[in-house]
Amino acid sequence: MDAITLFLDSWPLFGTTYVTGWLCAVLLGLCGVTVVAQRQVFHGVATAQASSLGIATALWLGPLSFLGEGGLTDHHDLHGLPLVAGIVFAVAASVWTSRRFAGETPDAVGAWVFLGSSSLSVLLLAHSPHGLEEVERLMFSNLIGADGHDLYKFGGLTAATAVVVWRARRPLLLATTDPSTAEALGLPARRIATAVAAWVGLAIGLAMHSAGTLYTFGCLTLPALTARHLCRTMTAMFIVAPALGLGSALAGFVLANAFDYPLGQFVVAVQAAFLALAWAWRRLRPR
Amino acid sequence: MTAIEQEAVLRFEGVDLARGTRPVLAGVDLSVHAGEIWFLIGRNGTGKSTLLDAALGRLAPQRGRIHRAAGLASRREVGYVPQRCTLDPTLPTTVEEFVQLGLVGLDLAPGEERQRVAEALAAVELADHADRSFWAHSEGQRQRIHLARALARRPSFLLMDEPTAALDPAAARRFFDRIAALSSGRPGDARRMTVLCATHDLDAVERLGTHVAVCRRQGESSRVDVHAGADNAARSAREAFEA
Repeated sequence: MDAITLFLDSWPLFGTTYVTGWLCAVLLGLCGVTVVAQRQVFHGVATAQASSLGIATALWLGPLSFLGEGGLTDHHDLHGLPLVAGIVFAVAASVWTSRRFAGETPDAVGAWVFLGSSSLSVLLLAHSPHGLEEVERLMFSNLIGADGHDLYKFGGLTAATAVVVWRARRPLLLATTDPSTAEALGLPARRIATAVAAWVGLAIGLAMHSAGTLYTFGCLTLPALTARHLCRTMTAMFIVAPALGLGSALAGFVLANAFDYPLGQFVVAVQAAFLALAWAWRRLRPR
Repeated sequence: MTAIEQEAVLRFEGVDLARGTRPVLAGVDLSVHAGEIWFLIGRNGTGKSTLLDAALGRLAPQRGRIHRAAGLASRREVGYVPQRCTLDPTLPTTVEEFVQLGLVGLDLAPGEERQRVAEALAAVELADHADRSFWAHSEGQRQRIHLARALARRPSFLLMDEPTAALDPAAARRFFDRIAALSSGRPGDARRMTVLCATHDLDAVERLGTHVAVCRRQGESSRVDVHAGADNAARSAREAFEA
């Protein structure tokens, strides 16, 4: 009870952050079902790191192009070019890592993108103290920076994603899980897969900007992986995964606030615990 | 053009096919008519799946022309059975959901969908399995569920790519017996299904084939020899594998 009172007391200061975090969890939960259905769990973290590289590249170019000698001063400088660059890099990486390239599997391409982006984004800003701080913030997650703009962006994208997923759930599932049959029945499976990858990249790019790698990757994969063990159909995963994302973010924010822990890390820890419970339930349930 | 040629539901005229820059089939000429059961046979890599892809319109010819009946061109009357299930076995799905996914693009009312799924499962003798997990079934049963997914579309054209490759001989025989029964027409429906099936199962070719297209390697690509009639089809099939 005290935890809820403390949480409500913090609402005037962090209300926008909380709602943004919840919307982000629902959006990524929906996207996560397609990522898990395509066996591309690693794809999410590679895309998130590519988004970091986009932001780092914009910050690196920033003082040269429009920020002047002083460079960055606070978090709000991350709007504009860094936000756009983060989204563009995420979309490009998401599309690229969703397919075979030069004889490599999507996993191998994803690993290359993850490692290359992680190292380059730090190297680019190694001599720029404020920029390096931002890259570290993105990697270790911090939801506190969310503002009113983030709220509208996530609200709009989450609503649009929910409508598209529900209306097109069957073509989406067939094209992502059985592309050969989908094409035989006249669905443009490759184009659908590319559109899904671009959409997931957009969601990850936006989420990275507000919540960082850990929260983004956690909300993308853990609820969908948990839903897989709790549902009887793939269609139900589209309801259960975002519900688990929202539930874990609700519980995580209340508890993190009560015990003074970082929000993002606490939510991901709750999601990881949910998945461990799902594994245990699956092993122990009567057959 | 003769009357028979006018009735062809699928016709290849001097067609060359390639995968990327690699030529696969050269000079293919064949005419498929409604109700015929065609088997596409040949050694691995001789172009059976390529021929199926071209029939479906997934692969454009490099040379020549392919004529398809409207229901085949639009894929609305196509049922398709793949060689194996590509669904990730860790994903949850019921038999009913699996079959329903095959109804994409038909824009059916929910009641009509349920009826078609029930009919298709009854046709493969899995009527009471709708609510069970897809993964609780054997390989042979899963292939029957794939067939039910194809049949739920009430297809005029049933295309299959080595559908019994993962089945034991007895299960493969039962699978093709079911195809033979279904291709002769559904109750209350005078139309007969046209079947195109890539296979290595010579027993099925011998028992059921009205036509066989034998793909044989010749130089860089393969040629296709067409044989009509059950006896000719079976003999040609055996010669193709013994050669």
